[in-house]
Amino acid sequence: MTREAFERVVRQWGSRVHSHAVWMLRDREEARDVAQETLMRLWKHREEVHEAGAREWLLRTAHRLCIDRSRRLSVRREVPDGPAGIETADPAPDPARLADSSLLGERLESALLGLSPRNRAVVLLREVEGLGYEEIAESLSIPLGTLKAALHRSREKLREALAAEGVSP
Amino acid sequence: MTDRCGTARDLAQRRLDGERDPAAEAALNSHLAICPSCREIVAGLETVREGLRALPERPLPGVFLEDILDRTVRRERERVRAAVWAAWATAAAAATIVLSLILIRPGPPEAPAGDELARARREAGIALSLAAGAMREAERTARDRVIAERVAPALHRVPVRWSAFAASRKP
Ligand SMILES: [Zn+2]
Repeated sequence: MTREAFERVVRQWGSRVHSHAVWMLRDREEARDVAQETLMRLWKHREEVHEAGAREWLLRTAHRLCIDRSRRLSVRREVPDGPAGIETADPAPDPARLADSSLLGERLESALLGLSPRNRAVVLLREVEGLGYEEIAESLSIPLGTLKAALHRSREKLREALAAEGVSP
Repeated sequence: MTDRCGTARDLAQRRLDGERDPAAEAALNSHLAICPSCREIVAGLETVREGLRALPERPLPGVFLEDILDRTVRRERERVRAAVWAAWATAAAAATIVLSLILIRPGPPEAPAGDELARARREAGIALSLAAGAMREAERTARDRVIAERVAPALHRVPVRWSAFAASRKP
């Protein structure tokens, strides 16, 4: 990848990398660190990475860094599998606001916290970033069947969390 | 929830995975037509899917982006610029020495005496070592890769030019 291509990739995908880190870590400073470290790693490996595959490379790398960090942060913040850790932004949501997509986004971001880091990663990489199943399975080192089962369970948990919050389709 | 509900919900998940099977699709649709509970669940799963796809991006602040470009692309550009400049300076110094050796010879070309040839070779040696010194200076300010690409080939050509020069001056 040339210097010009690197600059294009940074400008085009820097915020996607940052978003993934924010959703994975829920910590602004840590997320920025992860985004910066990921982009600096791409610079270091730019001879081996093609511009066309840069987005996937960045997300995989960011994800690995997030896992390393979330292990360090886990003592403080992480919630194990289960809906117990879901944070609610507003205990009495206004039904009109619930139709608002930004509120749906807020609810979903909170609901994502209720998933284990691995399941959250599955949902983010598949449903948000649209990576292929094989690619995600390889990145997370899990079999394809396990990945799909985790995705189904996670969708169902998110749906239940939204329903509990009064967000109905 | 009946067994059929379980099957329908599984089919709905597979549909979300992107699996396309007309028979499964028909079975799901006919169940949804008669089961409000599954209809609600499938609609909820679709809301989750749409909501996730529409999650607002969390932009990396511009100052961080610029910092990354400063530490990578821009720093590299400066290095290359310095390397190119040093290579040109080296080439110019070598060319000056060669030209001065030619121009300071008085009179028309004539067959060089043995000691003149030896002197020319010594001077050529000095010129080359000066050029090599300048090259080392360039290496300190530039990346090895750039030096290797631009300067080393030029250095290789210098002795060839000198032998051609010496040969051209033979009677
Ligand atoms: Zn049903």
